[in-house]
Amino acid sequence: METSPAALPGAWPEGAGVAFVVPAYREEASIAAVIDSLTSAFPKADVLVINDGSPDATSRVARATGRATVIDLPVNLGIGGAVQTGFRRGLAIGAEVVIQVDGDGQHPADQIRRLLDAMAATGADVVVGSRFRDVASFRSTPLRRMGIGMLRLANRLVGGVDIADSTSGFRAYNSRALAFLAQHYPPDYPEPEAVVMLARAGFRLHETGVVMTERHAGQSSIHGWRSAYYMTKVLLAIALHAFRPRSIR
Amino acid sequence: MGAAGVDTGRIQILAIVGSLAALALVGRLLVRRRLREEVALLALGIALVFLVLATWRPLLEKLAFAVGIAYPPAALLLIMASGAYAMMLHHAIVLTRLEDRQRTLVQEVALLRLELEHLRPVTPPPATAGVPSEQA
Repeated sequence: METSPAALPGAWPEGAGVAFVVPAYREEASIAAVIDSLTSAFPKADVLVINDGSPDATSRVARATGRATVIDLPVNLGIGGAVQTGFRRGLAIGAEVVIQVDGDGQHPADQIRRLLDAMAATGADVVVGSRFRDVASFRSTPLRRMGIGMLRLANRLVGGVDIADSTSGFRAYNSRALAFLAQHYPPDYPEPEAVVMLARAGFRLHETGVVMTERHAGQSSIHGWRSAYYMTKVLLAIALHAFRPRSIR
Repeated sequence: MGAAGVDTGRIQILAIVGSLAALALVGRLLVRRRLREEVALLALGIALVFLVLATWRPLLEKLAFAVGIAYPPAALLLIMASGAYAMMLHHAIVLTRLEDRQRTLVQEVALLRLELEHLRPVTPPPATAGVPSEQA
Protein backbone atom coordinates (compact mmCIF):
# COMPACT_ATOMS: atom_id res chain seq x y z
CA MET A 1 0.00 0.00 0.00
CA GLU A 2 1.28 3.45 -0.88
CA THR A 3 2.22 5.61 2.02
CA SER A 4 3.26 8.83 0.30
CA PRO A 5 0.70 9.79 -2.33
CA ALA A 6 1.54 12.67 -4.60
CA ALA A 7 0.22 15.82 -3.07
CA LEU A 8 -2.68 17.36 -4.93
CA PRO A 9 -3.09 20.73 -3.33
CA GLY A 10 -6.46 22.12 -4.09
CA ALA A 11 -8.61 19.01 -3.69
CA TRP A 12 -11.78 20.28 -2.04
CA PRO A 13 -10.46 23.84 -1.77
CA GLU A 14 -11.40 25.61 1.43
CA GLY A 15 -13.32 22.52 2.39
CA ALA A 16 -16.24 22.93 -0.03
CA GLY A 17 -18.15 19.64 -0.03
CA VAL A 18 -16.42 18.51 3.15
CA ALA A 19 -18.13 17.87 6.45
CA PHE A 20 -16.26 17.37 9.70
CA VAL A 21 -17.76 14.98 12.19
CA VAL A 22 -16.58 15.87 15.67
CA PRO A 23 -17.80 13.54 18.42
CA ALA A 24 -17.60 15.31 21.76
CA TYR A 25 -18.14 14.05 25.27
CA ARG A 26 -17.09 16.34 28.12
CA GLU A 27 -14.97 18.47 25.81
CA GLU A 28 -15.98 21.93 27.03
CA ALA A 29 -12.31 22.80 27.52
CA SER A 30 -11.17 21.97 24.00
CA ILE A 31 -14.18 21.99 21.67
CA ALA A 32 -14.10 25.72 20.84
CA ALA A 33 -10.43 25.56 19.82
CA VAL A 34 -11.14 22.50 17.66
CA ILE A 35 -14.04 24.22 15.88
CA ASP A 36 -12.02 27.41 15.37
CA SER A 37 -9.06 25.58 13.89
CA LEU A 38 -11.31 23.61 11.50
CA THR A 39 -13.30 26.59 10.29
CA SER A 40 -10.18 28.73 9.93
CA ALA A 41 -8.45 26.13 7.78
CA PHE A 42 -11.59 25.10 5.85
CA PRO A 43 -14.04 28.01 5.87
CA LYS A 44 -16.44 26.36 3.41
CA ALA A 45 -16.71 23.06 5.26
CA ASP A 46 -19.55 22.01 7.54
CA VAL A 47 -18.53 21.29 11.11
CA LEU A 48 -20.88 18.82 12.77
CA VAL A 49 -20.33 18.55 16.49
CA ILE A 50 -22.08 15.57 18.00
CA ASN A 51 -22.46 16.23 21.68
CA ASP A 52 -22.81 12.77 23.18
CA GLY A 53 -24.99 13.65 26.16
CA SER A 54 -22.21 15.56 27.93
CA PRO A 55 -23.11 16.70 31.44
CA ASP A 56 -20.83 19.74 31.04
CA ALA A 57 -21.06 22.81 28.82
CA THR A 58 -19.78 21.12 25.63
CA SER A 59 -22.96 21.92 23.68
CA ARG A 60 -23.18 25.53 24.89
CA VAL A 61 -19.51 26.23 24.19
CA ALA A 62 -19.74 24.68 20.72
CA ARG A 63 -22.90 26.66 19.88
CA ALA A 64 -21.35 29.88 21.17
CA THR A 65 -18.72 29.71 18.43
CA GLY A 66 -21.52 30.17 15.91
CA ARG A 67 -19.48 28.19 13.40
CA ALA A 68 -20.64 24.65 14.00
CA THR A 69 -23.80 22.61 13.64
CA VAL A 70 -24.33 21.08 17.06
CA ILE A 71 -26.28 17.85 17.31
CA ASP A 72 -27.23 17.03 20.88
CA LEU A 73 -27.81 13.35 21.56
CA PRO A 74 -30.45 13.11 24.30
CA VAL A 75 -28.57 10.26 25.97
CA ASN A 76 -24.97 9.11 25.84
CA LEU A 77 -24.51 6.59 23.03
CA GLY A 78 -20.75 6.14 23.16
CA ILE A 79 -18.32 7.05 20.42
CA GLY A 80 -19.74 4.72 17.74
CA GLY A 81 -23.32 5.91 18.06
CA ALA A 82 -22.20 9.54 18.18
CA VAL A 83 -19.97 9.32 15.11
CA GLN A 84 -22.66 7.45 13.20
CA THR A 85 -25.10 10.29 13.93
CA GLY A 86 -22.60 12.58 12.23
CA PHE A 87 -22.36 10.19 9.28
CA ARG A 88 -26.10 10.21 8.90
CA ARG A 89 -26.16 14.01 8.96
CA GLY A 90 -23.26 14.17 6.52
CA LEU A 91 -25.17 11.91 4.17
CA ALA A 92 -28.31 14.01 4.54
CA ILE A 93 -26.53 17.25 3.60
CA GLY A 94 -24.86 15.58 0.64
CA ALA A 95 -21.25 15.83 1.79
CA GLU A 96 -18.69 14.50 -0.70
CA VAL A 97 -16.17 13.78 2.00
CA VAL A 98 -16.67 13.36 5.71
CA ILE A 99 -13.70 13.70 8.00
CA GLN A 100 -13.87 12.41 11.53
CA VAL A 101 -11.94 14.58 13.94
CA ASP A 102 -11.78 14.02 17.70
CA GLY A 103 -13.19 16.75 19.90
CA ASP A 104 -10.22 16.67 22.25
CA GLY A 105 -7.74 18.41 19.97
CA GLN A 106 -5.59 15.37 19.16
CA HIS A 107 -6.09 15.83 15.43
CA PRO A 108 -4.57 19.13 14.23
CA ALA A 109 -6.49 20.90 11.46
CA ASP A 110 -3.31 21.39 9.44
CA GLN A 111 -3.05 17.63 9.01
CA ILE A 112 -6.46 17.36 7.34
CA ARG A 113 -4.98 18.51 4.03
CA ARG A 114 -2.94 15.30 4.04
CA LEU A 115 -6.09 13.19 4.29
CA LEU A 116 -7.85 15.09 1.52
CA ASP A 117 -4.84 15.02 -0.78
CA ALA A 118 -4.33 11.30 -0.17
CA MET A 119 -7.98 10.68 -1.02
CA ALA A 120 -7.74 12.71 -4.23
CA ALA A 121 -4.46 11.09 -5.23
CA THR A 122 -5.34 7.47 -4.52
CA GLY A 123 -9.07 7.46 -5.18
CA ALA A 124 -9.49 5.50 -1.98
CA ASP A 125 -12.90 5.36 -0.31
CA VAL A 126 -11.37 5.71 3.11
CA VAL A 127 -8.18 7.42 4.22
CA VAL A 128 -6.92 6.64 7.71
CA GLY A 129 -4.63 9.19 9.32
CA SER A 130 -1.79 7.22 10.84
CA ARG A 131 0.79 7.95 13.50
CA PHE A 132 2.90 5.10 12.22
CA ARG A 133 3.45 6.02 8.58
CA ASP A 134 6.30 8.26 7.51
CA VAL A 135 5.86 10.91 10.14
CA ALA A 136 7.22 11.67 13.56
CA SER A 137 4.10 11.91 15.67
CA PHE A 138 2.96 11.50 19.23
CA ARG A 139 2.63 7.70 19.28
CA SER A 140 1.13 6.61 22.57
CA THR A 141 2.71 4.28 25.13
CA PRO A 142 4.65 1.07 24.29
CA LEU A 143 1.88 -1.15 25.70
CA ARG A 144 -0.72 0.58 23.57
CA ARG A 145 1.48 0.31 20.53
CA MET A 146 1.67 -3.43 21.17
CA GLY A 147 -2.11 -3.61 21.29
CA ILE A 148 -2.34 -1.60 18.07
CA GLY A 149 0.09 -4.10 16.50
CA MET A 150 -2.21 -6.99 17.46
CA LEU A 151 -5.16 -5.20 15.90
CA ARG A 152 -3.15 -4.64 12.76
CA LEU A 153 -2.46 -8.35 12.50
CA ALA A 154 -6.13 -9.20 13.11
CA ASN A 155 -7.25 -6.79 10.40
CA ARG A 156 -4.74 -8.26 8.02
CA LEU A 157 -5.94 -11.79 8.67
CA VAL A 158 -9.66 -11.12 8.58
CA GLY A 159 -9.94 -8.07 6.34
CA GLY A 160 -6.88 -8.58 4.16
CA VAL A 161 -5.98 -4.95 4.70
CA ASP A 162 -2.86 -3.53 6.29
CA ILE A 163 -3.67 -0.52 8.43
CA ALA A 164 -0.91 0.17 10.93
CA ASP A 165 -2.94 2.58 13.05
CA SER A 166 -6.40 1.09 13.08
CA THR A 167 -7.35 2.78 16.38
CA SER A 168 -6.95 6.18 14.76
CA GLY A 169 -10.21 8.10 14.72
CA PHE A 170 -8.72 10.63 12.29
CA ARG A 171 -10.24 9.52 8.98
CA ALA A 172 -11.71 10.71 5.74
CA TYR A 173 -14.61 8.88 4.08
CA ASN A 174 -16.07 9.49 0.65
CA SER A 175 -19.81 9.47 0.07
CA ARG A 176 -19.89 5.76 -0.87
CA ALA A 177 -18.22 4.75 2.36
CA LEU A 178 -20.45 7.20 4.19
CA ALA A 179 -23.65 5.60 2.90
CA PHE A 180 -22.35 2.25 4.13
CA LEU A 181 -21.28 3.52 7.55
CA ALA A 182 -24.55 5.37 8.11
CA GLN A 183 -26.09 1.87 8.11
CA HIS A 184 -23.30 -0.22 9.62
CA TYR A 185 -21.03 1.15 12.30
CA PRO A 186 -19.92 -0.61 15.50
CA PRO A 187 -21.36 1.04 18.63
CA ASP A 188 -18.37 0.59 20.96
CA TYR A 189 -14.68 1.01 20.21
CA PRO A 190 -15.56 1.25 16.53
CA GLU A 191 -12.36 2.23 14.72
CA PRO A 192 -10.47 -1.07 14.30
CA GLU A 193 -13.64 -3.03 13.56
CA ALA A 194 -14.79 -0.46 11.02
CA VAL A 195 -11.55 -1.11 9.12
CA VAL A 196 -12.34 -4.79 8.71
CA MET A 197 -16.00 -4.12 7.92
CA LEU A 198 -15.12 -1.64 5.17
CA ALA A 199 -12.39 -3.84 3.73
CA ARG A 200 -14.62 -6.90 3.61
CA ALA A 201 -17.43 -4.90 2.02
CA GLY A 202 -15.08 -4.07 -0.83
CA PHE A 203 -14.11 -0.48 -0.02
CA ARG A 204 -10.60 0.72 -0.75
CA LEU A 205 -8.68 1.86 2.28
CA HIS A 206 -5.54 3.91 2.30
CA GLU A 207 -3.38 4.95 5.20
CA THR A 208 -1.41 8.14 5.26
CA GLY A 209 0.96 9.60 7.81
CA VAL A 210 -0.31 12.39 10.01
CA VAL A 211 1.03 14.13 13.08
CA MET A 212 -1.16 13.80 16.14
CA THR A 213 -0.71 15.65 19.37
CA GLU A 214 -1.52 14.73 22.94
CA ARG A 215 -5.05 15.62 23.89
CA HIS A 216 -5.65 19.23 24.98
CA ALA A 217 -7.66 18.30 28.03
CA GLY A 218 -9.21 15.31 29.78
CA GLN A 219 -7.87 11.79 29.56
CA SER A 220 -8.45 8.71 27.47
CA SER A 221 -11.32 6.54 28.61
CA ILE A 222 -9.30 3.44 27.81
CA HIS A 223 -6.84 2.73 30.57
CA GLY A 224 -6.14 0.08 33.22
CA TRP A 225 -8.54 -2.86 33.14
CA ARG A 226 -10.49 -1.24 30.35
CA SER A 227 -7.53 -1.76 28.05
CA ALA A 228 -7.77 -5.54 28.52
CA TYR A 229 -11.51 -5.41 27.97
CA TYR A 230 -11.01 -3.21 24.93
CA MET A 231 -8.55 -5.61 23.32
CA THR A 232 -10.69 -8.67 24.03
CA LYS A 233 -13.87 -7.03 22.77
CA VAL A 234 -12.32 -5.58 19.62
CA LEU A 235 -10.36 -8.72 18.69
CA LEU A 236 -13.49 -10.83 19.13
CA ALA A 237 -15.52 -8.36 17.06
CA ILE A 238 -12.93 -8.48 14.27
CA ALA A 239 -12.66 -12.28 14.40
CA LEU A 240 -16.44 -12.64 14.11
CA HIS A 241 -16.39 -10.90 10.76
CA ALA A 242 -14.51 -13.89 9.37
CA PHE A 243 -17.75 -15.88 9.83
CA ARG A 244 -20.04 -13.33 8.23
CA PRO A 245 -20.80 -12.82 4.55
CA ARG A 246 -18.02 -10.80 2.97
CA SER A 247 -20.21 -8.11 1.50
CA ILE A 248 -23.10 -6.68 3.44
CA ARG A 249 -23.43 -3.73 1.15
CA MET B 1 -35.28 -43.83 50.39
CA GLY B 2 -31.81 -42.76 49.26
CA ALA B 3 -28.47 -44.18 50.31
CA ALA B 4 -28.09 -41.93 53.36
CA GLY B 5 -31.66 -42.43 54.45
CA VAL B 6 -32.85 -39.30 52.68
CA ASP B 7 -36.33 -39.35 51.25
CA THR B 8 -35.75 -38.65 47.55
CA GLY B 9 -39.48 -38.30 47.11
CA ARG B 10 -39.23 -34.97 48.83
CA ILE B 11 -37.25 -33.41 46.02
CA GLN B 12 -39.84 -34.77 43.62
CA ILE B 13 -42.64 -33.07 45.52
CA LEU B 14 -40.59 -29.89 45.74
CA ALA B 15 -39.93 -29.96 42.01
CA ILE B 16 -43.63 -30.47 41.24
CA VAL B 17 -44.68 -27.68 43.57
CA GLY B 18 -41.92 -25.42 42.23
CA SER B 19 -42.82 -25.93 38.60
CA LEU B 20 -46.52 -25.49 39.32
CA ALA B 21 -45.71 -22.24 41.13
CA ALA B 22 -43.57 -21.09 38.20
CA LEU B 23 -46.36 -21.92 35.75
CA ALA B 24 -48.88 -20.08 37.91
CA LEU B 25 -46.60 -17.06 38.19
CA VAL B 26 -45.97 -16.84 34.45
CA GLY B 27 -49.68 -17.36 33.77
CA ARG B 28 -50.61 -14.59 36.17
CA LEU B 29 -48.09 -12.19 34.62
CA LEU B 30 -49.48 -13.03 31.18
CA VAL B 31 -53.08 -12.44 32.26
CA ARG B 32 -52.10 -9.08 33.75
CA ARG B 33 -50.23 -8.19 30.56
CA ARG B 34 -46.99 -7.69 32.45
CA LEU B 35 -45.33 -10.28 30.22
CA ARG B 36 -45.66 -10.68 26.50
CA GLU B 37 -46.51 -14.10 25.11
CA GLU B 38 -43.41 -14.41 22.98
CA VAL B 39 -41.16 -13.73 25.94
CA ALA B 40 -43.16 -16.01 28.23
CA LEU B 41 -43.17 -19.00 25.89
CA LEU B 42 -39.65 -20.03 26.84
CA ALA B 43 -40.38 -19.66 30.55
CA LEU B 44 -43.59 -21.67 30.18
CA GLY B 45 -41.84 -24.36 28.16
CA ILE B 46 -39.08 -24.80 30.72
CA ALA B 47 -41.53 -24.94 33.61
CA LEU B 48 -43.62 -27.53 31.74
CA VAL B 49 -40.63 -29.76 30.98
CA PHE B 50 -39.66 -29.51 34.62
CA LEU B 51 -43.17 -30.45 35.75
CA VAL B 52 -43.37 -33.48 33.44
CA LEU B 53 -39.99 -34.81 34.54
CA ALA B 54 -40.70 -34.20 38.20
CA THR B 55 -44.05 -36.00 38.00
CA TRP B 56 -43.05 -38.84 35.74
CA ARG B 57 -40.12 -40.29 37.60
CA PRO B 58 -39.38 -43.21 35.19
CA LEU B 59 -38.86 -40.77 32.34
CA LEU B 60 -36.50 -38.70 34.47
CA GLU B 61 -34.56 -41.86 35.43
CA LYS B 62 -34.36 -43.00 31.85
CA LEU B 63 -33.12 -39.59 30.77
CA ALA B 64 -30.64 -39.32 33.63
CA PHE B 65 -29.13 -42.76 33.02
CA ALA B 66 -28.99 -42.10 29.29
CA VAL B 67 -26.71 -39.12 29.85
CA GLY B 68 -24.76 -40.82 32.66
CA ILE B 69 -26.27 -39.21 35.74
CA ALA B 70 -26.42 -41.76 38.59
CA TYR B 71 -28.77 -39.77 40.78
CA PRO B 72 -31.86 -38.81 38.73
CA PRO B 73 -32.94 -35.73 40.73
CA ALA B 74 -29.56 -34.23 39.87
CA ALA B 75 -30.77 -34.25 36.27
CA LEU B 76 -33.51 -31.89 37.36
CA LEU B 77 -30.85 -29.48 38.60
CA LEU B 78 -29.05 -29.75 35.30
CA ILE B 79 -32.28 -29.04 33.42
CA MET B 80 -32.98 -26.12 35.73
CA ALA B 81 -29.51 -24.64 35.17
CA SER B 82 -29.80 -25.13 31.41
CA GLY B 83 -33.22 -23.50 31.46
CA ALA B 84 -31.87 -20.51 33.39
CA TYR B 85 -29.02 -20.20 30.91
CA ALA B 86 -31.40 -20.37 27.97
CA MET B 87 -33.56 -17.66 29.55
CA MET B 88 -30.51 -15.46 30.14
CA LEU B 89 -29.39 -15.88 26.57
CA HIS B 90 -32.87 -15.08 25.33
CA HIS B 91 -32.87 -11.88 27.37
CA ALA B 92 -29.43 -10.92 26.07
CA ILE B 93 -30.66 -11.34 22.51
CA VAL B 94 -33.73 -9.21 23.21
CA LEU B 95 -31.56 -6.58 24.94
CA THR B 96 -29.15 -6.42 22.01
CA ARG B 97 -31.99 -5.88 19.62
CA LEU B 98 -33.51 -3.22 21.86
CA GLU B 99 -30.16 -1.46 22.19
CA ASP B 100 -29.76 -1.34 18.41
CA ARG B 101 -33.22 0.09 18.00
CA GLN B 102 -32.75 2.54 20.85
CA ARG B 103 -29.50 3.83 19.33
CA THR B 104 -31.21 4.44 16.01
CA LEU B 105 -34.07 6.20 17.78
CA VAL B 106 -31.73 8.42 19.79
CA GLN B 107 -29.90 9.38 16.61
CA GLU B 108 -33.19 10.06 14.88
CA VAL B 109 -34.38 12.28 17.75
CA ALA B 110 -31.15 14.29 17.72
CA LEU B 111 -31.26 14.74 13.94
CA LEU B 112 -34.92 15.71 13.98
CA ARG B 113 -34.26 18.22 16.75
CA LEU B 114 -31.57 19.72 14.56
CA GLU B 115 -34.07 20.05 11.71
CA LEU B 116 -36.47 21.68 14.15
CA GLU B 117 -33.79 24.16 15.23
CA HIS B 118 -33.44 25.18 11.63
CA LEU B 119 -37.17 25.90 11.50
CA ARG B 120 -37.28 27.77 14.80
CA PRO B 121 -34.50 28.42 17.31
CA VAL B 122 -34.85 26.22 20.34
CA THR B 123 -32.83 26.22 23.51
CA PRO B 124 -30.37 23.35 23.81
CA PRO B 125 -31.56 20.55 26.06
CA PRO B 126 -30.40 20.44 29.66
CA ALA B 127 -27.14 18.55 30.06
CA THR B 128 -27.80 14.91 30.75
CA ALA B 129 -25.70 12.77 33.00
CA GLY B 130 -24.66 9.82 30.90
CA VAL B 131 -22.30 6.95 31.40
CA PRO B 132 -18.82 7.77 30.16
CA SER B 133 -18.48 7.29 26.45
CA GLU B 134 -15.86 5.10 24.89
CA GLN B 135 -13.87 7.90 23.43
CA ALA B 136 -10.16 7.19 23.42
